[in-house]
Amino acid sequence: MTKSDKSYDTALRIFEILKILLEKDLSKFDLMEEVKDNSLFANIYTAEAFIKYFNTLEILGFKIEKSKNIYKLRNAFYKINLTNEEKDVLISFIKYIRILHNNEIETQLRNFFYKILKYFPEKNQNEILDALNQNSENLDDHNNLISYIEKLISEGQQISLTYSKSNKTIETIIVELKHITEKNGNFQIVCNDLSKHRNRKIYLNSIISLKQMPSRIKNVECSNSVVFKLYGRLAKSYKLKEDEKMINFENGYLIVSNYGNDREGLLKRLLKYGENCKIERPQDAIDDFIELTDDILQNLEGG
Amino acid sequence: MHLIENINNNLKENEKVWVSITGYRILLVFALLLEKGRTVQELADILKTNKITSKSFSDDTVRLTIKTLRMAGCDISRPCSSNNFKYELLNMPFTLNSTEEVIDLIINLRNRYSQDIKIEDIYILNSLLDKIMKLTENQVLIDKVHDSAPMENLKKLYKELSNPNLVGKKVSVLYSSPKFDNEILDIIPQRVVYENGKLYLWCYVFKYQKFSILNVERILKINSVSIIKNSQFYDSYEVVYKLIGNALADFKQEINEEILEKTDDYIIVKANVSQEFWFVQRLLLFGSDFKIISPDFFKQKLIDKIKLIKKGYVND
Repeated sequence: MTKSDKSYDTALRIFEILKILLEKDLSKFDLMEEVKDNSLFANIYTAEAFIKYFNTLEILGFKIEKSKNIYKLRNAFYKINLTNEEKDVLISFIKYIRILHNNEIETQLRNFFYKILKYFPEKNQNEILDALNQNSENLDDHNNLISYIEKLISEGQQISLTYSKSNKTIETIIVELKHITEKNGNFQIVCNDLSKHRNRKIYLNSIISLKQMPSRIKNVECSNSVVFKLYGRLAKSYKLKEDEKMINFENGYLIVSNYGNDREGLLKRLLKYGENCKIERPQDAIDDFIELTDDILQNLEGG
Repeated sequence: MHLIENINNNLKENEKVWVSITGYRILLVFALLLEKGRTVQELADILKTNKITSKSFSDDTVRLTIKTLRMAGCDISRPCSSNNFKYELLNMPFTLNSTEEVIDLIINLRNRYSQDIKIEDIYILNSLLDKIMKLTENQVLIDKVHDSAPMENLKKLYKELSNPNLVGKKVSVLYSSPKFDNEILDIIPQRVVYENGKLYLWCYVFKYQKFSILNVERILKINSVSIIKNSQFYDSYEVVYKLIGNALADFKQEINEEILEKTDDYIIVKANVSQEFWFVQRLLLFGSDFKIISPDFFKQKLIDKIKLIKKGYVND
């Protein structure tokens, strides 16, 4: 092998290191492990050699940060130029990852954005990085509550749940916790309300306290079904939603059974239909609906 | 390119750093070719003025440099008359590696996120993800992300329909009506909304003499736009309302609305209402988490409506 060939091999090794650094952050030891089976690096992978390769990359303009023995490449050969609007949408999209509340999926997505961070202009990198980090930091309290609820669910005790209702009154109910769900980026707890024998969805941010009760959960099967009747053009044009089935369609009206978990959401939707809709059963759904209309009237008439 | 612009500034005067000169030269040539195709002479001229590589650059060195770049995985064209005797970088070894699983997660996240943001932002996100995907150089994944982009096929039409110049104008469209096949409809566009994965146009339809919702997918083309000479066909007025509680999470600003005040506890919104039916439905979806600040006639109208709905139960 000539001296010239050796020099060109060095260039190839620098290319290889660049490829690896573009993919992930890693320590010098990890880097050596990565290349140990690569014939280009046979007998070459000494710490000193790597310093030379890093120096070469840095003189070319690559920024390699070292933090806690981990090397991070901060820029790439080519950039994705971002307009201000694109940057704002990207940051907002990255922040949206939190709604997934699935650590494994969140990690995969965050890693993807960490990986592409180096392709964005340096002036935007810090803001994007902040969004990626802030994402988890700001949600610590929220995540702690979610983790606590998940722990309560796994322990299988009945829970005394105190929450603030829409009309600002405080209510305490005994529930069996089922699971956590999300709507428009806001988390809700799905539970069986044992006093009313029906499923409920309660926003996490309205929960005031959760207290374990001595009784174990009995997995009481609650009937969620709400039957409502539609009239007029709405009856003809109505498209059944998920969790709905048609019970009857005759004489110009349609009877629908909704067996979803979101009673509150359903009642608001039925309210939207106005006089073209009437809840048939159960009585507690009718009572809840009347309570909703009273709350609205109180808000409107109260000023 | 950023790297090239600063390349001579990355080494301070008299600074001694242990580097691989050949590695440096080859990566520098790579960066130069990444920027654009260059002839041997152009490459040599740049390298001569470079602090580190400032020496003669023979044809042999060029050949070996290009050979090394090819060995590193770069696809570089041969100089010939059709490319003005330039070396051109056709493909490179630095691509963003990503699994289909992660790309599927991005697509799913985008679809959910699109339900919560303005239509303009959906299009910005679509184009941004397309740009990011180009880094993968994986055509299957690039196509997958592009083809799954919400409303991408309606982008041109959306831009036309949401053009502020159309406000208050009569627009003649060819509409593929489910009942009447293709028909020409004269409309006054009001607002385009994205709901349940579809684009809808709220507009005043002259044929029906009322506001209707048209599925934008069914608008085949815009025939003409004309100024309306007579007075308005519909009335509009302003409503100021306040949202509290859970409604804060559900609120999505519409184009006819202006946020007057926003705190952690409430939002005050001013809406220009020309389609009262739609607006009332929008408010009722907030349940009891809204209050009407003004005008009183609208507040009274709403009170009467709620009382009428309640009457259907209380009198039973």
